[in-house]
Amino acid sequence: MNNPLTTEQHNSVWSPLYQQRAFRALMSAFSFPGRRQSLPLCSDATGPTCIAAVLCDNEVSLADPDQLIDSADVRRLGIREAGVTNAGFIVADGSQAPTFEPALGNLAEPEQGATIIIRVASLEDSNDFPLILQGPGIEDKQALSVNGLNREWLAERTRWNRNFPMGVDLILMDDTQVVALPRTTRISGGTN
Amino acid sequence: MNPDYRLPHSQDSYGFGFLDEFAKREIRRVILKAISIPGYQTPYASREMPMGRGFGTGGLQLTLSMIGPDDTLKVIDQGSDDSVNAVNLRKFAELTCPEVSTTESTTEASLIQTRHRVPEIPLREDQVLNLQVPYPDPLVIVEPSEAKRKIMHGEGDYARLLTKLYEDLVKFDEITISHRYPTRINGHYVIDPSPIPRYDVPGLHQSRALLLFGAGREKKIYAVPPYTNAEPLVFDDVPFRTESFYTADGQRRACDRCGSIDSFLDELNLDDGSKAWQCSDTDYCNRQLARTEAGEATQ
Ligand SMILES: [Zn+2]
Repeated sequence: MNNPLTTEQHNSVWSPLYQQRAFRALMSAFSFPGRRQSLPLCSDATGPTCIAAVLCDNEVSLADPDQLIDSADVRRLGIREAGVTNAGFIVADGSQAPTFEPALGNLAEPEQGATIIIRVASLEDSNDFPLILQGPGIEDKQALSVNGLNREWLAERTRWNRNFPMGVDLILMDDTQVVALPRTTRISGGTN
Repeated sequence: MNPDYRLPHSQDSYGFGFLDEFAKREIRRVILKAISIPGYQTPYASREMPMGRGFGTGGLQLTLSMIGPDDTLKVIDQGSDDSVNAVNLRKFAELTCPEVSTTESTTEASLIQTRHRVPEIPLREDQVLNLQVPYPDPLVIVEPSEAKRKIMHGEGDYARLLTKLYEDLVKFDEITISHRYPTRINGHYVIDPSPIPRYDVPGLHQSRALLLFGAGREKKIYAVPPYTNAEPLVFDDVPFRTESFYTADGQRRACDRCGSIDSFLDELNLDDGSKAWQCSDTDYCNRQLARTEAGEATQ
């Protein structure tokens, strides 16, 4: 039930210390969109499990259409599994174009828009995505490199976020780092 | 304090933060949504705290949901680290977060919890300001229904609030709101910036630090992200004015303690019936005083 025990080793994703430190990395990522933040080291998980352990439990729903989270971890999280159209959290493989319509929230409850955790190959380098970001959390402009993100994601994100305050918030992650793209971030460059 | 309150038991050194891990996780989720939708009052399930709501529980819950052993915490009330409220909240944090350092220095703090002031020294990117909020919704004065207010906020429709401000202006020849001045964030949501003076409102604009607002009683969290526009609602022909500290003959008042002429001053009533003026930000005042004394010593 994702109930962290203080007896867990501090480098376990299920420990309170890991979750506190990883949350601070996520909070910095959302505060400064496009800037890479390192997740703390952990001994017993990789990929999206590291973020799901921080944010998900039995109070939220999660869709994992590409099955990126190990089934034992899904049980440990205690999350309610849901279809992608109404899940609060969606985990997805960035190399594949999205084929779903996520929840966008509504005028009175825009926070019901989904958080999408997207696994990419690398946030260190880029083949064809020198992206330029602007918006809250960015002083002037912020460059973002990402490798292994199907370009359809950016087109779909633009469409999903066209009616602020409704929209979706993205967390891109590679093996060790995260980058957040809240719905307020405007993206140009790349192939857009 | 709640008489039933006990410190959480723990097998190792990290059983801290008072809130259980589920409560922290919910607040953490809400903080990320609040940052993603700047100025939006994001609802959350405020937990019972061992002090009455209205004693900064919203700000405290923000702080406890994010604090870790690497943090240095500063707690201020009306700019002061020494007031009863600030001391009680700081003691509570020290009791429940044993590895955390506390400080009275704005520059040394990684987390600052505050009531009614923004520190005079501009904050940095690696700092977070958690403001305690009693009343989060600026539309309450024009619309009693929360359901309707939520739609108005969503649409960015503040026509009735502006009308109210305009009536104020016609009647009093000035916008009379001294604290909680309605402020538009990122061109959309209007927030109640908590009871900070108008003097502090420009400090919210394009802040380098994340600013979070916690209303425990009303169960709302909202954010002004770094580098985000925060603009007081104004009319084209009436500029926004902050409190001025000028004497009748046009002199900027100085702090009677440190001599500063660029800080927000509290008016003090002395025993002999006279008045004195002093920086409300005690850390700033101490710094200025130390600088002045160091300057005199070298002369
Ligand atoms: Zn002073």
